[in-house]
Amino acid sequence: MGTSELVLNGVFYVLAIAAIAGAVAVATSKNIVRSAFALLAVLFSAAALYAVMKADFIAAAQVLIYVGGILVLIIFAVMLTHRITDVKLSNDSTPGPAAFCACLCLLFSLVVVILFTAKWQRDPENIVVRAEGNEIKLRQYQSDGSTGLARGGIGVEDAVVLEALLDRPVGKLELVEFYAWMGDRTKPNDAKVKTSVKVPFDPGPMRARLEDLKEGDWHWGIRLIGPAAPEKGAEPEKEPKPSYVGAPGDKSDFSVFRGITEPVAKALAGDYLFAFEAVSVLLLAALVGAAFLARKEVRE
Amino acid sequence: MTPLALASGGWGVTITGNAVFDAFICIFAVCFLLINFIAVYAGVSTLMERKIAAHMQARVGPYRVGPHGALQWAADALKLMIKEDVIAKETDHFLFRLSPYVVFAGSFACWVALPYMPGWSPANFNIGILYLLAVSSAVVIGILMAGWSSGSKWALFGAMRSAAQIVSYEVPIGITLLGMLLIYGTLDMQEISAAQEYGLPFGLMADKQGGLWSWGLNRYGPFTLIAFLIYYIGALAETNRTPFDIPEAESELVAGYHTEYSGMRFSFFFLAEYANMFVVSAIATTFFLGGWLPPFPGPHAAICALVGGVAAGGLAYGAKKRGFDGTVGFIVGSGLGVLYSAMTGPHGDIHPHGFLAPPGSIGEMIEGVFWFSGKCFALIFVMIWLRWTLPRYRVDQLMDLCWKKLTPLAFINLIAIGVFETRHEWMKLIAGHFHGGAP
Repeated sequence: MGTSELVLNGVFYVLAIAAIAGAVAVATSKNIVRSAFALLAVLFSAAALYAVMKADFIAAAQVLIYVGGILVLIIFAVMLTHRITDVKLSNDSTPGPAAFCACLCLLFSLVVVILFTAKWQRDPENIVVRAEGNEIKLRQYQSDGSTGLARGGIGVEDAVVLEALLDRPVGKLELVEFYAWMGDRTKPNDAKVKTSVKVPFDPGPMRARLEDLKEGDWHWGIRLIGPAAPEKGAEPEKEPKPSYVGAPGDKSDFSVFRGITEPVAKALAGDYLFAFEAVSVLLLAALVGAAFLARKEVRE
Repeated sequence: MTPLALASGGWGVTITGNAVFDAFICIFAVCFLLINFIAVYAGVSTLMERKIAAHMQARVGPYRVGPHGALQWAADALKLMIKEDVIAKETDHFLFRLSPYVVFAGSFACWVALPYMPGWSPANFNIGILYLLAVSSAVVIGILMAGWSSGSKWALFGAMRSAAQIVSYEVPIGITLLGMLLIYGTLDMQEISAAQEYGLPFGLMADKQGGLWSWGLNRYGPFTLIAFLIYYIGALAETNRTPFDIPEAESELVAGYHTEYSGMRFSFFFLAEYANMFVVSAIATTFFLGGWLPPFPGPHAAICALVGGVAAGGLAYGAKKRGFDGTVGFIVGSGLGVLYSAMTGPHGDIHPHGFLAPPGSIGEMIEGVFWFSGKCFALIFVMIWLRWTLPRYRVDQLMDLCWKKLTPLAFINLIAIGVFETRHEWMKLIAGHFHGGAP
């Protein structure tokens, strides 16, 4: 186990313990306002766990919705009860045997769901590469049987499969080189540790497997190679000037960014549009109900 | 991006050779720098606020510490640090002690994701703006925590007002930013800045460097301008600034949610407030004012900077007759003009940055930081200016403005920007209709 994996595991356990401790504080605190504030620790730890799992969009959404929206609402509701300035609001209900049984049932069903229905294999991540007038989808697959994290960040596995798809085909292309380098993101040329694979150009998805990746900080890019320049006498064969991904100084200004935002957007506004809209109707109903409860009583 | 990858992955700094240790060192270094910068920045902006207020009211303001009172902020900071920390008996001690840090953490966390210079932010998220909106919500929780744990009704009223205000104004702010995101098509703050380099209003001449005409503010004429105004009004309310400072209304509530705080804990709220002002100004700068881009690109920049610098120096010199010492102003103004004209060379059509500032160089970084922070400070200046100009809103007027005026306007704006963004599709549809063919 490498250092990075060790650290990530440590971070995971710290966050998990923080989340559980917060949850225990929510359930056992005698003071209802303190319970509400303890929820902050739970929600933030959960968001941080998402971030550790590289689901940064989900983490931000978690904080935005649960902390910024729901927790504020809960605290508001708690504070707007009539004993508002009394610090010693108490939570009298102690967890009885019934509650314990209910929790056990919930835990059991959760474990069943986790063990039997959850899909553990991760979907390939999308890496979108933007070139001039072209959007190249660079997809990255986990190597077989590995559960590590390999991405722009810290690689803890030894191989990665990259897939590229050119949105609009570029004319006069012969080869596409997939390469990975370690070190400065913006300077692929200076990197000491490099590995690359060349594949023939194909308008469809192109795949390459990069192997022997040491632990460290890897960046991925692709290079488009056109036909070799015509030979001029004794002049050696020249390769056209390559454009590197992620080099901001380049005129073509490639940039690599890998995001979870796009898949989430596609799922929400595509596959699960109906469920998404149905939930928004539920929220609307809650809003109408709140407005009804909060309105002024008109007496005749 | 994992937290560890943020630091070393983004910058490629090698210190120990181990990626994890490097990442920790980088994170620590950046946080240390940023926290110190926030402290100094907050001090200087309090001085700025007091000086501007004084001059607007025909006073001189702080004058004793340092030349023209320029070191007053350091004296204030020292005073706050050595003051006694008073905690009243009725408070909830744990939450009372915790809340200043929650508020400050919420503001501070935003600073790492701001695009200070081309191609580099301390943490370059691809979800930049979403992260900013998310972590700033910790401020609301901290304020509620402070108000409730103080055990004082003034503090509680202030906290409730503040939270209600911030939560309400997040709605128009979110919708306006959504409209701008339709234009940029990305959440990344760096890319949003970079997207404002080319193009003229209404999608004309997409490859032309338009300078300030390419900025988000001018992208769709009146609509983006209205979006900017809605955002700025909302930002004033989010930072509890006048005319929306009802949470701290001195004449009604003693000092709002931090009534019971003193010494260092109070100064944390203070720091957070000024840090927040910078963050909202930075978001406005990135979305509407071109981020780190200069207002006049290429060869024009040199001429504009030279003329502007000399003119500013001349003005400062002219002001000498009214009692100001203008010689220094003249030298500094024209010096800045010459320096900037040297930085933006004749390569304007190729790249906006000149021979002293080729892409990726220190010069470009300095230029980027200069324009970014310059725009932010201009917006902060307007905030201070408004504070000494406008009277305070009432609670019901505040909610009326937010829900009945700004929110519908923001929705209309969103639809208008959406229509402009999809104009090619509309044109195709209409053309298909008139030609009788399928669209």
